[in-house]
Amino acid sequence: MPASVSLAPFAGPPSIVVPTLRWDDGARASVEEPILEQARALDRFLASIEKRAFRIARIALRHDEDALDSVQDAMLQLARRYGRRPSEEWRPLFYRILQNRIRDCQRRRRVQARIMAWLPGLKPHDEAGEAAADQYAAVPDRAPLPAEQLATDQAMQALERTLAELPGRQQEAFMLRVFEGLDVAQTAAAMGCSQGSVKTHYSRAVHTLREQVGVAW
Amino acid sequence: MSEDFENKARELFEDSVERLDARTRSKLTQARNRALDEVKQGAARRRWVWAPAGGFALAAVVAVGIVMWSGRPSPQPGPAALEDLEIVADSEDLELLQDQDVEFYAWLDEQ
Repeated sequence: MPASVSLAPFAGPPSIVVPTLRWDDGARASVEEPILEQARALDRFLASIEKRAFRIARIALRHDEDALDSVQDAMLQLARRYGRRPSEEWRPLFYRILQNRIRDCQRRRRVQARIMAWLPGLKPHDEAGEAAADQYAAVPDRAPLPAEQLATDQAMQALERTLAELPGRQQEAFMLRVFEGLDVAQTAAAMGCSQGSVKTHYSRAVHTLREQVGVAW
Repeated sequence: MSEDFENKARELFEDSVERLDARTRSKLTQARNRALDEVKQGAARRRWVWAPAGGFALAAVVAVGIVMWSGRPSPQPGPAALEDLEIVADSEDLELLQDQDVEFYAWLDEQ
């Protein structure tokens, strides 16, 4: 006797929820998120130091374009070689690279100056000509200076002139300690020397600057 | 006294930083963006550099797995075991052994 089979009306296949894994969404995001986070952290860091770094390079090199090139090279080198290092290490590393670029530039200039001395037909680096060719050079970018601002500018110019005449290592030690606010250990890391040397260079720099500029202030 | 001098120098420096001209600020921003592009491109390059290495590693693991799996002892019975099974399974042969002269087969085995 055949077993009785009750036939229920066909209700279609059971609904099965299959989780879909899409590379474009979660997987890619999980892979790229650390890179984006690193890029954001580096962006914040560079934005926080770029203007001071430029001014430090400008004081050392006394030339806008050379200072910009040095800062740009330092940024690229930091991103390329040390971007994956902990962010606490970036500041001394960045300033170490920047100081190396500044020294390279100064060395190149000395070599160029020697060559120019031997080849009188060639003209030395013409800053005035470059400025004239620069379309932005004539654009006024600040309001006329009040007397107080003028005094501040003159004090800064005096400081820059005296700083520029200091020996390179004293100049570096002073600018990293006072302008960038690095402590002795960070300055030593940035300059690639011992903490004792930093203290010596810094002390001599302050002594000379106070003698030559401090009186005028 | 020394601190006063340093504070004054710091103030002057910060003031000069704040009053950087627009052109220099713009150039610095461009330089920063180039550095950030470098980070992203560097990450992409690293991914492509490691992709072939990952592929080779996966292929090596698969190859080792195949070799180990094919070298494993076979679970199938050998020829001797099959013969024994045949004898046990074949009832006629057992009867033959029981009915016939066992001593004859022993002699035959010695020849």
